[in-house]
Amino acid sequence: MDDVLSVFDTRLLGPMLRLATPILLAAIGGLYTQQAGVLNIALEGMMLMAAFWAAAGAYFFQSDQVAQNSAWLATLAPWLGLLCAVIASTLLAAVFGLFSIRFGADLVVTGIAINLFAAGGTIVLMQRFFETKGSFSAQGRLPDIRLPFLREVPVLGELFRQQNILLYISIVIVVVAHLVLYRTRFGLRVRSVGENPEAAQTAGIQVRRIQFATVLISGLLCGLAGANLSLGYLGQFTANMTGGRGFIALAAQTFGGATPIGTALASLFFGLADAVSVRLQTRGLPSQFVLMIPYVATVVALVLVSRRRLFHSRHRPSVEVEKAEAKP
Amino acid sequence: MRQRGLVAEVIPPVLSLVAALALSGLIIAALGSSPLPVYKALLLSPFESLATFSEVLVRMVPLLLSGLAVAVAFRSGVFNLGVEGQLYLGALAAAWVGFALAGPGIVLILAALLFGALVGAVYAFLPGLLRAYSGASEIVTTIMLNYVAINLTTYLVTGPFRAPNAATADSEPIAATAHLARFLPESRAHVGLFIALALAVGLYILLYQTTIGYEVRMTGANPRFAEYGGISVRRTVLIAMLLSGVLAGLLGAIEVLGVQYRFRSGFSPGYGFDGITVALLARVEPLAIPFAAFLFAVLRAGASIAAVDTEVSREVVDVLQAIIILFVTAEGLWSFVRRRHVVTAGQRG
Repeated sequence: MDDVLSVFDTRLLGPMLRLATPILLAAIGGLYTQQAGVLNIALEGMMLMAAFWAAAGAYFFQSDQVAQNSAWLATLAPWLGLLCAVIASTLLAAVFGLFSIRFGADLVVTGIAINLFAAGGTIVLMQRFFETKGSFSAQGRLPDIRLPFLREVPVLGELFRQQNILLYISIVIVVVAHLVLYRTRFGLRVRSVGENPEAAQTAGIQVRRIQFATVLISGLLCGLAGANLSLGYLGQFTANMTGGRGFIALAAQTFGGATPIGTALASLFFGLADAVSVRLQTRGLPSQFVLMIPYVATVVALVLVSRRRLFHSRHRPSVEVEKAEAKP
Repeated sequence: MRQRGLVAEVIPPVLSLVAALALSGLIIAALGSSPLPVYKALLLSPFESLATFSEVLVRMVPLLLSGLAVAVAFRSGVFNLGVEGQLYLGALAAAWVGFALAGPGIVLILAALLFGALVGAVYAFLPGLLRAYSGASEIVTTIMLNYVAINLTTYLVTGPFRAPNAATADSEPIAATAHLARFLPESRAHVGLFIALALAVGLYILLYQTTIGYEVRMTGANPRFAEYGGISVRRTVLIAMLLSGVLAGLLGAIEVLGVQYRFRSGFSPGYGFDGITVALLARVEPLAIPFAAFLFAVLRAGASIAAVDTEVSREVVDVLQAIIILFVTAEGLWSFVRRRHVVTAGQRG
């Protein structure tokens, strides 16, 4: 027991924040669409595509041919990689929105297609341009922000001594999401579309346009999330490196009660599960068990969220019926 | 919809397929390769010899079973994205029967199939229960459980079930008496194909000739109506999920008994997800699923050949699949694949 508990110490805090960052960024994207009533399971694929383009973009912009002609571009290479990631991911989001919102294809099925496209597409591209199906180096990464003066401070020091710049961006994004959703006219429209689309329509809100906008926002944020995966720490892209984080992000958004602050806390929880998993890999436990931890934690979290409903649902009509009755 | 006639039923998926092939060709050309040799490898080379064609029949079995597993859940309005995990556990269960137990061949085979089906169903039970009784989305839970199942089975064959002198993470081989019979000379094509075809007919009969099939279809088409009609929507959703798990478990068991002859960790190249495309292309009709599965088996077998003959990697079929799904679903949705969560108010928006 002591051995198990010894896993938990303050040195987990830094990795927790680091591993929570991509989940959090994607989860806030999922939160926007969920608030507008769009279940977005394409987060996974958008993130994966972004991770590829971030690394490929960073690699390209500091390759010799670019560096010879314009050295200033090479110094910005990781940032240009980030830009490539955001563009690729937002384009994929536009395809998702086009087929599901405009053409009325099922959201889940469209999301599955986007995820398949990204999973296969990134490998086809990697094989074509890097002649491998495993991984390639981006030859650079996004900078960390070092706060050496925190070294002696107990908890804060572990948390913030050295974190990637995208962590700080993601904190800003959580605050912005809170303000946008609860303090702006756009946020009010998003929430009313999610709450009751017919009423929103009657009130003159262009339901589909609002939904499409949130899908594009989720694409943008998944672009940052994917860039964080490939350029935030290792500076490389690996096949299927998202490893279900897009779905964990979806769960974080549910677990967090569909609010920005709650989603951030839930993402921290999943980041902690990830950090424990990474830590235990050095402890001689079977690696497969350790690798299961984030996924088991996600299922447990979803069971906890739904347990209340499970106990109170016995004498109520089932959820599908309630959903159907909400429509006129 | 069923009165529209065969031609009207077949044309849209065929058009989607052609359009998807054309778009994939453009993508291949944009990447600097010539699409024609890729098309030739994908579509024609599997038919070049009996050896290549029999590989199509081998690949068709898991695609067909996965399509059926996805379809039965779809018909009740549930997405079982956990076929991948369920088939891994079913495969390991069947392999365990094959190497740990002894008995006459037919008994061993039946026991392995039953145990595989049972374990698949058990693994589909939790997400089914959560979905039916608490409304927790089955999508995230089934995906998460896939990762758990793949890691769990890999652990079991690297640890307790590992063959003594195996170089890779494989289980011990199953008893030779438990192998499924092969029916073509010099090929791996095995009778699992006929089991899978029989299951397609069985699923058709179940859906269209039995009470539970009626309840599944009604639940998928309109849960509110079903509930008013006296159908327990929750029970039906759970049953459909269990049936889906049974088929996924059988898929794993048949792959072990017919092709692998042992459990190899990571043996599935994503059969569980291929089943989604197969089911959608077949418009979730059990009797059309064998045709869609055959077509995908051709593409998958062709992709292996394309990967050797051209510089395009075999994952190009995943891209093709994604485009097919988009086109097939965009040309008009079927009532039983409900639109979830997006409630578009009025068609003009």
